[in-house]
Amino acid sequence: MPFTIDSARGIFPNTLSADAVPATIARFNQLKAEDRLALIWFSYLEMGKTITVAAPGAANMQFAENTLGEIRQMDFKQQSQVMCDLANGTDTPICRTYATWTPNIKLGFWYRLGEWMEQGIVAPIPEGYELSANANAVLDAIKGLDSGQQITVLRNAVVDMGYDSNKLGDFTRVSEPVVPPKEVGQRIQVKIEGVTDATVISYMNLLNANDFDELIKLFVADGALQPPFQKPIIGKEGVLRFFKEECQNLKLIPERGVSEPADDGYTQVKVTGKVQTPWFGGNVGMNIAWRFLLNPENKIFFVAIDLLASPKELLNLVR
Amino acid sequence: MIQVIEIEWSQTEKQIARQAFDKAYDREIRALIKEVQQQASQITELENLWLLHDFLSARRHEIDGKYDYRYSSLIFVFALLIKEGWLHKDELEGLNPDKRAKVAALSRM
Repeated sequence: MPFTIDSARGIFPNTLSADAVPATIARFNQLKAEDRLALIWFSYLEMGKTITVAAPGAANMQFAENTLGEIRQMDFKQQSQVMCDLANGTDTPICRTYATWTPNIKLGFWYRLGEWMEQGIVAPIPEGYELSANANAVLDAIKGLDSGQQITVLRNAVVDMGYDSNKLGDFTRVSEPVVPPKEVGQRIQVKIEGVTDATVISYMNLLNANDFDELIKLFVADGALQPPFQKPIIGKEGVLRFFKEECQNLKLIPERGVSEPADDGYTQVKVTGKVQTPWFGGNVGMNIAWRFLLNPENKIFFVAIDLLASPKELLNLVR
Repeated sequence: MIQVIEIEWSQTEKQIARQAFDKAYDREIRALIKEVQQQASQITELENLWLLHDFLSARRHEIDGKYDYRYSSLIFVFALLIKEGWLHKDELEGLNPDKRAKVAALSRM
């Protein structure tokens, strides 16, 4: 075995990922709960001026309905308390339930609360609420990011809320239903300037088609995938779960790439391009690099997905 | 509520306050840059590097929170800046005596 997952992580070390995202989240997490909630709200309003957020489908929301119904019955004071508990990660039944949800359910939950806040069903951020100077500084930092980075900061802020799932012990993850793969006739084939590798191209096409059971066959058994700002997920089972839970209805638009031989018959391929999420559609294209390491049988041993520091990085294909 | 407090600052006072605020900010930032340059030049171990990272994170949080130019908080901001030595009380000359007395009293706490 010439490569380990650890050494594979270092391919194409010149790739500049958006350090501003984890740095901003670290600053965000230093704020008090009220400020964090208000900041998310203000950012959401700010973004709403230029971007339309798609409503989550009913099927995706069924698992949050009980909790949402419970919150709807509460008075404003109790509702505010629930939201602060979520922001603080307090140990409450709702915070525990929240921790079992996949990111899309969490986002849908807040989307619904946001709607209800506008309609006066849920306690709003008090009119004239003044962010602390620290929170204002973080909000300014978020405004300064590109839109793909903004949505990543806000997504991670929401995903990290609730009780710490590491402390939950054994629990069943609650995931939205997996959509069926697209019909073969409806699938679109990507073209990547500079890359003809069949595995890489299939990866893009199968992910775009939500065909995760075929997609996972491209990986070796002990292969790994490293999502943006996370540790690698090692092994087919975990990677498949990641695809099903977090990659449904994504649109990958790879643009260009480079393919080079690596040690012992391995091949490393770097591709750059855009990714659109179902939440924002064509409004927000995240600037992404995929760094593949393929084994001599042309299976994926490792792939890292990086959110890039700037659009300029789309052109950086050097080692 | 906020407007009521704002009315208490005359145009002249606002100018004086802004100047004093910017001056203190500039002094603190320059001192910080110098300090960081000095610390960075002495890094030899990874541990020193992370210490510098922690130092920077803490300073960023502190400075973001401290330089709050809202008329409702300025008295407290000025008091702190004087206490920390980034501003001299004479640089607030021209503010009304009541404000200066409050700042002076708070800065001794």
